[in-house]
Amino acid sequence: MILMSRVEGPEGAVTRELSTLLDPNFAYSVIFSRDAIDLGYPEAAFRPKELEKTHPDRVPYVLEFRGIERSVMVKLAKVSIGTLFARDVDALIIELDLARMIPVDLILGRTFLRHFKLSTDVKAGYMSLSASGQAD
Amino acid sequence: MREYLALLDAGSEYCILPKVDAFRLGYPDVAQMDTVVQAPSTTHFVTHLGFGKAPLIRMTQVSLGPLTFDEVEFLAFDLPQACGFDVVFGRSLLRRLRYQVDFSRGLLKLERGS
Repeated sequence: MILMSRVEGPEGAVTRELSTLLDPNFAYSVIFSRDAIDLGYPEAAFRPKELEKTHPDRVPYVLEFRGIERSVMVKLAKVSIGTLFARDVDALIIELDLARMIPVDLILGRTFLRHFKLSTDVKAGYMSLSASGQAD
Repeated sequence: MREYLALLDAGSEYCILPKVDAFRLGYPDVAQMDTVVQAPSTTHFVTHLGFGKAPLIRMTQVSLGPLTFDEVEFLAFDLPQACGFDVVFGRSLLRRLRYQVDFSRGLLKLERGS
């Protein structure tokens, strides 16, 4: 499902609206390096090998379609969809040569969705995101 | 009858299971490897790797706990071994279901769809 989300940088100094894919099957969220740098996360410019020396916990291994890779992880201060929001969302940095070939700027995986409850009725074309603990 | 570990994926049009499992379950057509005379119901699709094709079979019955579904379409297609699951439940099954995932509590609730 593709929708618009609002992402805030540290201290809420910079906010951006990004085209977003909700992906319950991906453990992490993913953001492009240029967007992360714009939002105020300079560590997004590092290569995993560089950051690994000082912050090994911020460079996790990820199993994805291309195999096992390593990527720099940042903590997005606040991510909102409508009135719902989550703070301190772990997101991996990705850098693509042809970023515009992909129709989304941000992937929100389970590091974001773990704050919520997702209901889906595929036949009715209905998907609902609500705060966890909220009645159906 | 066999039991599998499945991935629920609303982003996949079809359900998927490996060819060898489809063959063992009693769908011998999926083993037809001839590139000229293709297996019946060969279906073309797009994945992250590009275009692909695989035989489409109708699984007689699929059970998820107490819920059973007849005649579910599956692609007989080999998944990467590193996936950690055996089969994919895509929209060919999910459109018969309504499901709710509470990520914070790690709960999945399935019920028959509308």
